[in-house]
Amino acid sequence: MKAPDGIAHAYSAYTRKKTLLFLFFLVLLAAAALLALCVGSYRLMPMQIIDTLLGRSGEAASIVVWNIRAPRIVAAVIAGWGLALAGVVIQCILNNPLGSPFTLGISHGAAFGAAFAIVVLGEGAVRGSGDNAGVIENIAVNGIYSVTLFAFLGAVLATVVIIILARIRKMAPESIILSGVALSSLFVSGTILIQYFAEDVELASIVFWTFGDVGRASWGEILLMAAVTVPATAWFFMHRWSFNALSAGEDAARSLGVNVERIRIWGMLGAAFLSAMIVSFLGVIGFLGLVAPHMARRIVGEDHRFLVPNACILGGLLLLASDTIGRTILESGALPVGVITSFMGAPLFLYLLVRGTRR
Amino acid sequence: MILSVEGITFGYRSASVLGGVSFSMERGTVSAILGVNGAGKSTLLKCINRILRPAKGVVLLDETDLHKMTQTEIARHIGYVPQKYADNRLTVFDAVLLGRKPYIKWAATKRDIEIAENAIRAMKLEKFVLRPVSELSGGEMQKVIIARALAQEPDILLLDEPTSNLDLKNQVDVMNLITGVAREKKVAVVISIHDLNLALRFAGVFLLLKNGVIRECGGKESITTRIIREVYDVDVVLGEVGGYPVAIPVGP
Repeated sequence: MKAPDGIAHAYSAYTRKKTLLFLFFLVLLAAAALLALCVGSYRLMPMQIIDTLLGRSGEAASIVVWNIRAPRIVAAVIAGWGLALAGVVIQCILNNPLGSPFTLGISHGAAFGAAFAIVVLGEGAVRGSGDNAGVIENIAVNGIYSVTLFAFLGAVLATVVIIILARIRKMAPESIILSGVALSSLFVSGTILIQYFAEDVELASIVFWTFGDVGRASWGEILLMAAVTVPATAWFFMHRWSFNALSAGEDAARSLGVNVERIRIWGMLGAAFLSAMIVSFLGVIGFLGLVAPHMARRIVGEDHRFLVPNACILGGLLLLASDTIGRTILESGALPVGVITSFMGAPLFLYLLVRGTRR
Repeated sequence: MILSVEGITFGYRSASVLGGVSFSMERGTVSAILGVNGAGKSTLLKCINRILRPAKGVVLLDETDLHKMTQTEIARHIGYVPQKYADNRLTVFDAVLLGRKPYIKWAATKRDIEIAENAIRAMKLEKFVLRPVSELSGGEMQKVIIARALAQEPDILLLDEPTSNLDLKNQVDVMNLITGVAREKKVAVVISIHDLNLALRFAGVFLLLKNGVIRECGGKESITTRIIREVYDVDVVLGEVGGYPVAIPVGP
């Protein structure tokens, strides 16, 4: 006979609580997006936003919402989502809490690839718009897809080095992170070297990459990011049980029927592709892929069934909040979001380390 | 006959670890693999459920070649309890529910939850259900991993030194639970174990490995002072205390 307050009952209440928490974060994200649409140098009321979304407002409000704020809000949510997803996956695959696209040098590898394409392959012609040509906000790189390709190759190069070190040399988790630091440093040095030989215009293009900024993505680029992020999310969510098994150890995962090698390779490549795509369109956005998974882990625990979706939502929320702060804090213009995430992320991460593993 | 291992050979680049190991076992029996450190005990267990791929040899499960199955199919037949538990913060229930991984298509069904619940009860872990595994003691953690393996509903249960980090009470508890599972669920249990006395008390079949080769295989009668000296390089006195067989090392 089972007790009325059976184990299954307690467990189902526990999972229901976690599902509700996910829905709460989803609502919070929607509210944050609405708030972000309202605030800025041209203030709009929520009712005006709704009117604009329904096509019932004036031209000014319509331009502000559709051409300026909505793209950067959507870009922030997708990029934050994707970077957090990449962070969760890397942390699980490498069994290392400090793993992320940023700490492993994947972001810097992508930036180096982009710099290489811009300068060495001559993809760095800058197009500006009207009188503002030359202002960072209005710079865009021509040949964006070949630059993206090289950013991806740079990210994959970093990933392959990490996988080789982790698997063949059987390095300890902390050594892998140190290798990431060394790789980052190498890629940064490479980028500086390229910058040294670059012309003014090319230099401007490279600097454009190193400032992570969600404001520069067009709807087309946002669509491309979504086209990678959505299937990646589906794939990672489909394999959530395998990630749980992997977190119980490699031998345990194999004994539970997980094809560890396949999950590792596809997971790392997927995470690298996601990071490369985001970095190549928006620039380097530090710490987000590290902090969002840890925040989610503290709130919902290690179970990847809940960790993956919550980390993604929190990643989107964090990047959106950072960007909104960045563009409202200065009267004169927007601070690149990469600066804010690094300022916010580094102390938060130190706090997480100091607080230890207590939930 | 349920498990039949024939001529398993395994080696790393520089050294041979297993040199043609063969044995077979029945449902409901507990077999102990004995031998010194590095004799190949853990490697043999991992070769059985293909965590490691042996260079030669066949593992048959009721006449079916296990190594022609997918890893998921193998996981439906063989549960494995590794030597070390990777520190993670899954709750006890989630950790045990992982044992249903080979069966879960998309989400855990009611039946999966029920089986995990039964495994938790079998290991007497009811009061820890929603606690993170990493907050448990060594003995409790070991029980969680055994419960996870039980949730796989295996025909064969492989345990790699399940008592090595446990105190005396937990050693006896865990071994009692394992032998109970073998008896009640008719599971063939294979344990690699260092403690000769625990093995003598709880196992029915003994495999003595030395340098990757079986030196002796059989029931309690096969454990003699001569074979222990040969395998462990230690002189022992065999006797009986409180009705249980014991081996006490003697000499320098």
